[in-house]
Amino acid sequence: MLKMFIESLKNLFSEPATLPGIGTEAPKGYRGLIVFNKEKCIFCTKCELVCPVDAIKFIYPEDGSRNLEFNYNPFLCIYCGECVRACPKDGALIQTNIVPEPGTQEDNPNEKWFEIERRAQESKKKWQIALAKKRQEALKKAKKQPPSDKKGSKK
Amino acid sequence: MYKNFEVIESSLEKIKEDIKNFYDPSKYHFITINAIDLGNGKVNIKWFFAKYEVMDKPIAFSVDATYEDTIPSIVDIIPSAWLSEAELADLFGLNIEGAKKGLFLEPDSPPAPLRRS
Amino acid sequence: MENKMIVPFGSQHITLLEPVRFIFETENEKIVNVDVDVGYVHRGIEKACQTKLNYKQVAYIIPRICGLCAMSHALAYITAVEKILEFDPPKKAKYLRVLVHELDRIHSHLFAMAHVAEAAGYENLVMHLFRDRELAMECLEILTGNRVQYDYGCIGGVNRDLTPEVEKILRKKLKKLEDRIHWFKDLYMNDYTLSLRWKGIGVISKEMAEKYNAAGPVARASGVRTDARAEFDALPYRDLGFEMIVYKDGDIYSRNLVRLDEIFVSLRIIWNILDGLPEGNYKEEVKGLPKGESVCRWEAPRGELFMHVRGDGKQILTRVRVKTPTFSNIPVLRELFVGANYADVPAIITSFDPCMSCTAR
Ligand code: SF4
Ligand code: SF4
Repeated sequence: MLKMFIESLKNLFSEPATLPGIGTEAPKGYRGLIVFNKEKCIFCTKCELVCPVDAIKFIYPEDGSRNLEFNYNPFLCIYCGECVRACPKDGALIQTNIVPEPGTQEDNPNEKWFEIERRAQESKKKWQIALAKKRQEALKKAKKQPPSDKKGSKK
Repeated sequence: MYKNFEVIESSLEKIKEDIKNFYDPSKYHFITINAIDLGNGKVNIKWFFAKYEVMDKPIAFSVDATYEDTIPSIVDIIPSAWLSEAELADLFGLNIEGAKKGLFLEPDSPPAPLRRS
Repeated sequence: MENKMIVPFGSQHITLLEPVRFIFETENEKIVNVDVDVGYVHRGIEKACQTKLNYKQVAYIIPRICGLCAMSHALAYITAVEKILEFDPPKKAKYLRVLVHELDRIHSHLFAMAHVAEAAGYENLVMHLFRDRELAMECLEILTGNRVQYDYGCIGGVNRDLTPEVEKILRKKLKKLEDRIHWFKDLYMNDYTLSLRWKGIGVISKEMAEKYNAAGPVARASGVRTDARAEFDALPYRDLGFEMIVYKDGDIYSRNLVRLDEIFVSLRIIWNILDGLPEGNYKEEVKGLPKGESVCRWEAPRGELFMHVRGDGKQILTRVRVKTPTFSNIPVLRELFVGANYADVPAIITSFDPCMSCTAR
């Protein structure tokens, strides 16, 4: 008991173990917010596939092109870093050491995200149809041309 | 199929006797009971044991049953098995003799959630 | 019959950390009968792992079962899947897994000891323990990138290498921690308050521990020689100077001492790893889909963790079963209460270090 008493007395005069509360910084290598870099992305959607909690959603464009819109939900993300490891393109997804802020009512994180999820699902269907159409057209074109080629070759 | 444990096949009638003959509290550690839904109303149940202090493969008694069968309880041989049995009774809806229901699920939750229909 | 009283304890109680409910039937101060309800936090994680997630994603969801032994859950699952795939992780990955796992054990044990001290009313010791636990947490943070959910292991190895800078910081912090643990050991051995409150209370005999299949520090404090680190060949503990800590008395005091001594063993293992980390890859590509059944026994801080995984050659597994340490310790806890004093209940419960979110999943 005496030991504890002495130690406690020592603690009275030593530096506090707690941090001052402001300006605490996450160490290098902390697994924080995911940052997306559109210039480098090739839209392979691998990150969307591997994410265990579906915190990444792509909204597909109507015209069937590969110009997808990246959506990321920092409130759903569990910061596992799996998307970064799956990304084939260096620098398209980066895990920073920024500590995520808690979501507040003003952010309205839930409703916004549900809307994005719904749009992502719908747009994917439409995009697939558009893509199928595009492919068919391309196929038709390709079919049209070979006959002319054949004719040419027959002649 | 079984990668790193030994399996002793048994049947619903024999399982209690088998475990009784096998189990020695000072030598074996009873781990748990687990069930696997095989589909079509069939279920595979395994009782796991491991030896104390020796690096050895765990041993499992395996029984195939259906959801209608009554599964014998081993609480009189291994008193600590009641919790595992209660869990299976709750999560799989198995009929285990004397197992208390409602320990793991709340009254308003869906019944037998781990069953595959 | 008249002097019997029913006293509910939980699901919310000042000394309980997590929701569990006991209904005690008492006669004066003595408990004569107990009923227990454990399923307040059932979240259906097993169900999610069998229906929604593919087997690689499960490795990141399983640790969310529990915050304190997150690493144990993740690594036990990963080991089980690797056994199905018949993949042997590189040696370096195994060593790094042990490193994180043992750091995890240190902070979990300090946490448990702090709570037992709190139940005994020794606030001063609580503060000291929590302060020094912070050292272990900081080590984990710089090594894995998070304080609680490490996400360090993955199927095929580990996700990060140990860089020289990190190693330097680890050495510095662990040195400090080791000094502190020596100080604690001294205190625990000599402090009058602790022995008064804990010696001879909540005694589990060896026969009882074997009969009710207790696990982990609880069993080892009663003289049962069981430790999954020595009984299951997942990690190279034999080369790293592992030693089983066993005490005989089986009371609250020896449970604390088991934890304290295990911290020394963990520290020794960690020093050995830092001094002799093998060269090579820390991660390798794993191919194939899991087909077959395997189990994994794992010594989590609270006792034996058991995973049973079955895959049928699909992305989604057929069955993932997690048997957690507290699950094994509930039966012996219930038996122990019969005949105990009601006033000792908080101390006994916290000395078991129960984790309900593990038990109910
Ligand atoms: S860090 Fe993990 S949870 Fe977050 S977006 Fe990436 S894969 Fe999803
Ligand atoms: S994985 Fe990388 S390249 Fe592929 S879509 Fe995601 S961010 Fe883009």
